[in-house]
Amino acid sequence: MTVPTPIESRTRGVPAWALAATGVMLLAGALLFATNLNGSNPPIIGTPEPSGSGGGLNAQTIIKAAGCQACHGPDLAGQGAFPSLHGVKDGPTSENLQQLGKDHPDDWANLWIAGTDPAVAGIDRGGMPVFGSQLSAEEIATVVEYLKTLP
Amino acid sequence: MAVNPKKLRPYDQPPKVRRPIIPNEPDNAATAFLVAALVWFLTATGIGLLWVAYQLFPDLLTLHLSVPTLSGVLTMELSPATTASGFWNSLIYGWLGNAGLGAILFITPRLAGRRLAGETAASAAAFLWNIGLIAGLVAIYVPQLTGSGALTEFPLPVAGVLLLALLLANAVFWRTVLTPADRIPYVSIWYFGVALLAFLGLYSLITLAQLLDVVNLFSLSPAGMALANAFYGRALETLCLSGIAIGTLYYVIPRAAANPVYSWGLAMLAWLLWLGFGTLAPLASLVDVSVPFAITQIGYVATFLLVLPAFLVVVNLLLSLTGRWTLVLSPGTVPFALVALTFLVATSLLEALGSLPTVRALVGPTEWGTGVRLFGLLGTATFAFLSLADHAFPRLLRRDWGGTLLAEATLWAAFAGAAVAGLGLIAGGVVHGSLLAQAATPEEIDGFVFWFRLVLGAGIGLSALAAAVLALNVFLMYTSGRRAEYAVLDGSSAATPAAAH
Repeated sequence: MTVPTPIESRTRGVPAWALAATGVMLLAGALLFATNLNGSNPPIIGTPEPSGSGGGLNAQTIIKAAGCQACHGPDLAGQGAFPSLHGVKDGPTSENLQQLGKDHPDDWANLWIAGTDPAVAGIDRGGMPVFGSQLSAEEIATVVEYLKTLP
Repeated sequence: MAVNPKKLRPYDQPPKVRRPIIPNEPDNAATAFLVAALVWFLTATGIGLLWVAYQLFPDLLTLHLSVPTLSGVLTMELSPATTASGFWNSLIYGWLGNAGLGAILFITPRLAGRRLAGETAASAAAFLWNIGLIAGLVAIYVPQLTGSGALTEFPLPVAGVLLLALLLANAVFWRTVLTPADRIPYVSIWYFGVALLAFLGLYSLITLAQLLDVVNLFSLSPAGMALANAFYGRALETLCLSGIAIGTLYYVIPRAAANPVYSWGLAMLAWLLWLGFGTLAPLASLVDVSVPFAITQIGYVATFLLVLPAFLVVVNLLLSLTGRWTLVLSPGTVPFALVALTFLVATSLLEALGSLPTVRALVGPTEWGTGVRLFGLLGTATFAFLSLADHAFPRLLRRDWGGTLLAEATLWAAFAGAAVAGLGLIAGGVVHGSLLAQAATPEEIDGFVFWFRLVLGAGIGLSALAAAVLALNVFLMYTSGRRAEYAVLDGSSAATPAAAH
């Protein structure tokens, strides 16, 4: 029984061209850094996802963090007395939200989830929490955009 | 002389050979990891095809299967979200994770000149890693079982099992390499050390955050979770997967060519630069209003500079092939390794390009990044591990490869698959960015991007074909390959000369 020979190297030192290339690149990196210091980052949540992806990743992160699945089920298809969140692309499916859907066809879901607008003040929430203080308008919009992609 | 066993007295009976429950022969753990990797390669590319199908037809295929069990009805959710998660997890942890850990456990004892310190623990790590991954994948598809935070995507017990496997692999590696030796460890060991520590550290941190969240001690905001996810994913690529891939290439190329590596100094310079820039590059993923722009900018500059160590690695390894260029012409370890080097250069150049402000503005919100990521994962890392598989399987299974046809089919299918999939998304990203700049409607954009996703599907399909052909080749080698003997490690710690291994 034997073991293999170690791998040797032909030379030990660092070639001069490699040191020169390293120096040039570090200089280029320093210049790149110095000339691009002005700017600001956009918010990581609330930015639109690439077209076609349906805002999946960010929306799901918000949904998990907000605890939506605790009532509406792990796949948001509803459980017990809590309604399904699927099929809301063209309007609300729950009885109590039909009028809201007619009055605010574009943003009824945003208003309902936020729960702070006078338009939803008189509607029985049936245990649905008010998320307006917990989530920003952008985060709610991301969730709504995602929900509208559910079949 | 024939012995009548009935006439033997009890003390004449030969002692019974007891096989340990967890195998502890040399290379058992490496074999387990590499064979499992092969199965995961097939699984990942199979799920990948479904992933592409969902991208092409997101509304048509969502499926909920209800399975009655003793404790109630379990609903299996086959949807775009679960399939995307299944694809990336099985590709990164299943195929590349298993192959990477297998590569480390195969190469380390051969470079250290001694057996692994803890073959049993290494085999246990292989078992835990794969059991954990299977459970994690099931949990992704059956959301009722998950109950996890958003960080690891795996339930907490599964994350714990994976963490234990990583801990065992680290313990075995460090106990093997930290034994006093008369020479400085070879450069592959330096890459493996950083990769293993980074993997363990990163996974420990997100599992800890998940644990604290579950027991209501500490919760990250949705933005914090998204940032942690983005940083973890990027660091996994720059430090762990690319580190193991480069370390593997530093082993297989000199071994296959039976040449010394060109320059020790160049290798260590590239390692130092990779360590520095690879650690800083994930900062570029921290794009949020809560993070100072200068921090993100450091990450972009480090991503740009990662092209330098990649270039030095490639030059060093190409010069190591001097006088052995004919090896390129026949399928085998060297062509696989050369394709890996090509993808290494291409990926680092594309990442450098993508880190420039003007390019970022054009392709930032598109699928360019995913395309470059696929270049790195299905290109650089996959081909590094394919070259190792070509080198290692005959030594692990003690059989020769059957013929060159299947090896050539694997090489070309995997090459075309990675190139087509990556380039499809990269080109799609450029077109998408241009359309966004022209204020095209979402319907127009989707119409164009559809065709590039179709190309992605063809690429993933070719990668699946490569995985199937490789699995068939290994199966044929194991069942009908010609027996071959290679030098193996015995229990002694002294290195003695042997044939090129």
